[in-house]
Amino acid sequence: MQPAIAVQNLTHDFDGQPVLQDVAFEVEAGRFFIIIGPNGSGKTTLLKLLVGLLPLTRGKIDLLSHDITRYSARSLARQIAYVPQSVPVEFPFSVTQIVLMGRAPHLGLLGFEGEEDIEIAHKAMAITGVDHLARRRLDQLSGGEQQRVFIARAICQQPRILLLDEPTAALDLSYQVRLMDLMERLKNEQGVTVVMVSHDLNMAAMYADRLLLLSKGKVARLGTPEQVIDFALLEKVYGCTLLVDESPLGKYPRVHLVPKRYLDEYMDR
Amino acid sequence: MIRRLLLVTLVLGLLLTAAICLGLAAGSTGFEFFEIFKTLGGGAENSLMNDIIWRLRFPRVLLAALLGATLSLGGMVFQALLRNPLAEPYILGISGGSAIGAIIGILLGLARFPGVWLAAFAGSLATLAMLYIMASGRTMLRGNSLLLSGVMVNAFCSAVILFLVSMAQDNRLHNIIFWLMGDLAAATNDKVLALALTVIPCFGVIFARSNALNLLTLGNDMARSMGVSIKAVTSLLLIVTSLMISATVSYCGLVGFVGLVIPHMLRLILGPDHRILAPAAILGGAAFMVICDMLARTLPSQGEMPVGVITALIGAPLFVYLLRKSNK
Repeated sequence: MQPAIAVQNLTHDFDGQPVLQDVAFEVEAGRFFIIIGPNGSGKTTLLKLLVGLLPLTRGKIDLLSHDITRYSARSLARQIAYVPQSVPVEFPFSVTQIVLMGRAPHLGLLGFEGEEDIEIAHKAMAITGVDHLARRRLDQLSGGEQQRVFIARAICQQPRILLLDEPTAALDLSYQVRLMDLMERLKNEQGVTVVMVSHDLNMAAMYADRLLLLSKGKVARLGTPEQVIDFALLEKVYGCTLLVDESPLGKYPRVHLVPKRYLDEYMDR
Repeated sequence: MIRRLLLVTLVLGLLLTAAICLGLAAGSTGFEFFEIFKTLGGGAENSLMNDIIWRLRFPRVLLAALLGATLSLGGMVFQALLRNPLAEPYILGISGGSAIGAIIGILLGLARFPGVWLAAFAGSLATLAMLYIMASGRTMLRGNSLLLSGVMVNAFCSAVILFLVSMAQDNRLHNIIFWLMGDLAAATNDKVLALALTVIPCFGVIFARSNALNLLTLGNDMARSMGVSIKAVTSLLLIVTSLMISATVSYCGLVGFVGLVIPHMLRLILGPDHRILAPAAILGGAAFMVICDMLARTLPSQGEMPVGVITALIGAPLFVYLLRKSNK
């Protein structure tokens, strides 16, 4: 099976500072792929390179077996959708209008949506739980509601690959698990390849088919959650003391943070 | 969607038609509605009245309509591209740059069309380039720094204009101060035709890219991820907008606030979708300017005043009111 994403020798500098160094990995089509790593390890940069928002300087990215530099902006947008951490909204668009924008790469020259486009948008709003907000102004919603609207917009784009940058950060517990379940459903039912940046290692361990751990712009480890959620490796990469055991739900590794007072007590003994 | 577009176009189209009738009827001796319908119906025996309406008022009203449509649409484009509802060609200094170009063109003795217009276009592009460099590099679309740069560019342009005017002592600049505040008095049918042929294709280009404008309001990254080629679309829109703005500046001088007030007002009523807003801004801006010009002609007991005085008198307070209301 052809990989949905193949990255080779990817190196990226920002103002002369290396952000990514010699990164290489593959994402099989129809998998849930989660990128983890400390702040500043290059996760968002990697995501932006994958969706063509940053110029590719060194290395190679293949999307669905084609070199990413060969895609036009429009043809790329039909294959891949992107949900950034936050989107500044200066104009009073309604939720429906924002979600419908996801149809843009599929529309004709003048960019008017038809009945079918509107139906796709309504479905996307229903499965992300924002249909009751359809007529509201986006800039009057809470951060978590806005986040769900932008996820609905990305789903409305009907991509084969969906990239999300910390989508659960602004969501409460119930919507976190609903979002992750929804991603799993998109993967299972429609074969969408989901690539997500996340800070939540436990969530990542429970949902990901593959994990990529980045550290200072390099691949620290790539593999199944059992292979990557390794306490010695994570302690080294994150620079703090951790405890890893198994989730009561099954064979998922579970990470615990250890407060300083426990360490002090342990040292005293 | 399309039905809404048609409805908005129809309503604003009727408004514009009414404004044009009012503009044609308004004369130095009051309103002459009866004569207008007789003349338009082709049944007028009075050939003087015929001449006044077709040779004087008709081109003037159409010139006002084209001017208003262009400024209003230009304001809308800048607001979307800069993601700032306060952006406008006049405030950014783009109009001022065109005016410097136009004055240099007049001093060089170039013809209004295409000489002065091309000089004005060069002036507006130079201002855009200056703005670009001042707001510096990586993202020229970063809202506030660009707006502040615009204020400076505008102040500088005004100084250069006054410098040129006071140094020149030239007969050709006799009416320059009047022209700077917006002058529609010299309208002829030929001029109107030339201006129409310049700006109407620009309207078409902007309308065709109006959905890209929607996506661009969410930022370059979002727009690009939804298939907009940022560089191509942004430069196309900036050039087309400068082109039409400089054309109106070289014919009508500097008229401010239309590009600020009309799109802002329409956005409050119709929402921010640029596919609806673009035609609405064209028709609404045109109707607004025709009315302003009618007031400029009829209000003074002797002669007339520059139309820019009226737009600023109506526009500035209205804008402050709208701003307060939308902040609440």
